Amino acid sequence: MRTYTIILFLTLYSIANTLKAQQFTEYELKSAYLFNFAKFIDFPENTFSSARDPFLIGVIGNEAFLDVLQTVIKGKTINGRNIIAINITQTEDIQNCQIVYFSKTTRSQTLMFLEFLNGKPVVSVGDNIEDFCQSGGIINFTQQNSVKRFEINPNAAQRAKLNISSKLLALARIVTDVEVKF
Amino acid sequence: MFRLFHIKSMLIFTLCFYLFNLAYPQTFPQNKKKLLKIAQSYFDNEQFDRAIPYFLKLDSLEPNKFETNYYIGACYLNSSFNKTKGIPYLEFALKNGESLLPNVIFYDLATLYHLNYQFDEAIQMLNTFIAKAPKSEVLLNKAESLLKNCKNAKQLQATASNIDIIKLDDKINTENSETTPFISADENQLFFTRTNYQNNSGIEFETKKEIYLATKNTNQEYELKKIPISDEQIKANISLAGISPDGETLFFAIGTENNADLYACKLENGKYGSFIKLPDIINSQYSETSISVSPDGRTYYFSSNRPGGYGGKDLYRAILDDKNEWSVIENLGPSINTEYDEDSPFIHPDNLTLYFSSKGHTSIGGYDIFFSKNIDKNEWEYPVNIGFPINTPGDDIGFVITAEGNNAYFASSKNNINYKYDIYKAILHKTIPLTLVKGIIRGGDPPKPIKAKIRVLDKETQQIIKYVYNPNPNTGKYLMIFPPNKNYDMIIEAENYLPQLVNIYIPNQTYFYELYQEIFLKQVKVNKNDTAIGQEIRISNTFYDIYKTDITDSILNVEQQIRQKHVDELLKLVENIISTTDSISIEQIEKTTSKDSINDKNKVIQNRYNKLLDLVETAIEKTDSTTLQLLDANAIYNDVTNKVFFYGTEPNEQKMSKIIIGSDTLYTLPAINTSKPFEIKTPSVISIKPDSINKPIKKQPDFKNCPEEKRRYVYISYIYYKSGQFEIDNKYFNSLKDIIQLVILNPELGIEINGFADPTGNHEKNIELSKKRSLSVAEYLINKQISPRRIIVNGKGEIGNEKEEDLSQMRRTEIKLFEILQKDE
Repeated sequence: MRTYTIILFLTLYSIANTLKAQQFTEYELKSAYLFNFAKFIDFPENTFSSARDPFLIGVIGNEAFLDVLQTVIKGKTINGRNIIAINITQTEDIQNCQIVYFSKTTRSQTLMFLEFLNGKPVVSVGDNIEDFCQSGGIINFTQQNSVKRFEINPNAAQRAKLNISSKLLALARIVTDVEVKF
Repeated sequence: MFRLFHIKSMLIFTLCFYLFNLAYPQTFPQNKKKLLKIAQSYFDNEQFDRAIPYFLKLDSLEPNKFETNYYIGACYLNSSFNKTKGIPYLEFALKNGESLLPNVIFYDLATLYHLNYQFDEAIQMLNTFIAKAPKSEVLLNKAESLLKNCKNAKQLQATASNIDIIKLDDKINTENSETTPFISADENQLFFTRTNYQNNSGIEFETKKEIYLATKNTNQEYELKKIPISDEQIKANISLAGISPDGETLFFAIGTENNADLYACKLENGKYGSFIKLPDIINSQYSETSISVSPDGRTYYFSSNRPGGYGGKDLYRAILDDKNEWSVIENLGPSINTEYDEDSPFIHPDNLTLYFSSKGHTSIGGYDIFFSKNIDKNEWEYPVNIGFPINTPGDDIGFVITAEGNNAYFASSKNNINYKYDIYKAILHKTIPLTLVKGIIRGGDPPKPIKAKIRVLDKETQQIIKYVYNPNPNTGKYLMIFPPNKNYDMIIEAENYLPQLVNIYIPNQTYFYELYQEIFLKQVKVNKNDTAIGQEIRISNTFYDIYKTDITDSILNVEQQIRQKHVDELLKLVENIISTTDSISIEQIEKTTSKDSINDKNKVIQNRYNKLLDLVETAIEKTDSTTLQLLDANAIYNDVTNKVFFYGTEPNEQKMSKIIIGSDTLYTLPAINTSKPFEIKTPSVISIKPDSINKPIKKQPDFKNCPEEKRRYVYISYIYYKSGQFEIDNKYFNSLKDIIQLVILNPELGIEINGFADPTGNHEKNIELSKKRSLSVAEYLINKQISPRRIIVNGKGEIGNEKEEDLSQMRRTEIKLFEILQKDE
């Protein structure tokens, strides 16, 4: 028992060392998550009409975040596709997006866009938005320092024909609210 | 004994010199006896510099003779330069011939150790000397005071601070002696005294003193101008004694060493006027040599050796009363003055701190620079030695410092012995740690850079913060530099917006911080074409602790060097900004920051992000939640504060707060507080919270129970009806949509809906109808996601009377938006 504790302590300590004072901003960190969500989620086959289509991330409601996201993902690719982030103000802008990020949106805005996205093969990601997954959103960031960094609604993902990696699911709090109503 | 004494006979001296000069310096006689004879005669004539080569030659011909070594050591000790070169010779002599040499060798060696900062060795030598010396030894007093100096030095050494000492260039510092630096407030002008020497056959004589003004040109180089003094009598015995706080008047000490008086000389039309002797209360029949005037021009601090003091030169002050008469003359008392000399007072522009030089107190040798704070009237704190590296074992004197306390100038004899001085500049790095705030201000929809004026007050002292540079109207970028651990009031006056007051707190810090601040202003309108009903401000602050993020960053240690360079550049930049007193344009700063480092920076940033992306990917791949938690715990969360101020339907200044900035009185919107910034966590103190989603923690306002006098109306809109009807006409839907949008965006707004009927018909029916009218509006709003708790519905019955012509104006519903007045408003 004692050995076990020590080993655990050591592992924790070594990680702590490597991460010592590793400071990123909230936006940089969330951008890194968004990029990796793209890697750990499989999209249906017909998602892209041509091989040259870029991977699109749309951002609703927070232009400051968009700026950061664009710098972080600059020059990166997902499965050989360029990755581009754009600003979204109305539902029509979503057309070709694979991920849509909701940040600082109003309740009515959130509901309106989620309603529009329902069943479409688009990953909706909420920035710590109340009842986001319960309202049909797929992924939602939790508060800072939560045990699980984000929550996932697998039912919504299923409806959207998205295949979320078991690794992501293992790291998430699962929201199994099936009574999503519109 | 090898001390310097009076020249005995000029005649013999000159003769000797003439003879030996024939042999000097190329050829040495090979005969040891002859060599020794020449060397000794130079030595006896105190021409130590000239004796050295002969003794050295002798030493090479006949090495390891302790006598020769002793002579060489003694020559170096008494030479004008390179005194400390004597140390190994004296050490050798002592080791090999202690019993045969006079005791004074211990004292001599101690003097050299002291000069060479070898305080432990000096203390040891002095103790031996004091123990061995007979009571009648004349050097005993000197040895004891040198011992004190060494002990002081040892103590001060432990607290040596990060100060850069720069010797001013050779336009100013020559092989002559430069003293009494005085600067103008912007440091662009430097006045000083140069004492010229003439070397007459190895002996130096003071010839004349000259006063110079050195002005910095555009290349930051000094250009020298001699201040002309026509009177031959004055010319011989003049030195600079001080400068008035406005830099318009120079003070001079004129006279002999034993009777010098202070004179003022005003600068008029670019020329110096006549010398005016200061009043008799200041000038005595003894010697007054230096002066400093308080910033209010009322108190004159000066040095004098008049009797009645504590010994040697003392510091005094004279005060002018309200009637411009000299009321007080007083010795600064035993806290400041000692039995030794005190000189060159300098009262800081804060009018509290007095800098001066003293040979007493905790001096580490000769004059040292001290400072003392005024407690009350003529009460002074115990003086503090300004310490290493400003003070040296030699004389350090004539200290003047700029208002913000970062740059100082002083004269020091350092190793330039025989009381020849040079002028040094000290950069005290006092202003670091600092917080550099780089900000951008934008306004409108869509946001564009706006023209604005920013002023910042220290909340406690109400002082205006000096290093605040207004936004560039084209880019909106501004820059501010703050001392940390303080609350500040930031006043933003933007064109077309009401002045805004923002409280910011700069945390305590040991390192250099950078804060990125974004300010966004917007007029709140119900409809784009409407007039504004309020003003929104959004401020986001992001703190970076540059040292912590960059240096201890072990994952990214490859980049350390580049990042370190970036930090250094930034520090230098801030220093430059601070040392330039006039405001500089933001573009220049932008240029400076970006010029060299932009490529490096981009590379670093890209590298950093690659690592971050990889780190997150690996963590997900391994479902390693600990790494993710650590990353998260150390993330800097953006601190965004946002507030809308509604003007109110009754225009008054009730909600405005009054603020006084210097001579301006200003009314601003009420202060908004930005929250205290992020605190950096070490992994050991991460507190893990249960999974949660941000729920609004703010208590929701209780609109329903808000009494009418507590409602502050910010917007009123009307809906009119046909007789007897209560349905909302289609034409109102657009404006209702705008109202709904505004209410959704501003949770602090409540809605009061008042229905009215015209005065025709019976009262009961009218009440009923007015209720239906208001309810139909409420229902519409509730259907559009407005919470019922925010809505107050009233049926007010009929208004007006039948005789009035336009009854249609009475058949209406009022939609009034309000906020709840807080207690103190």
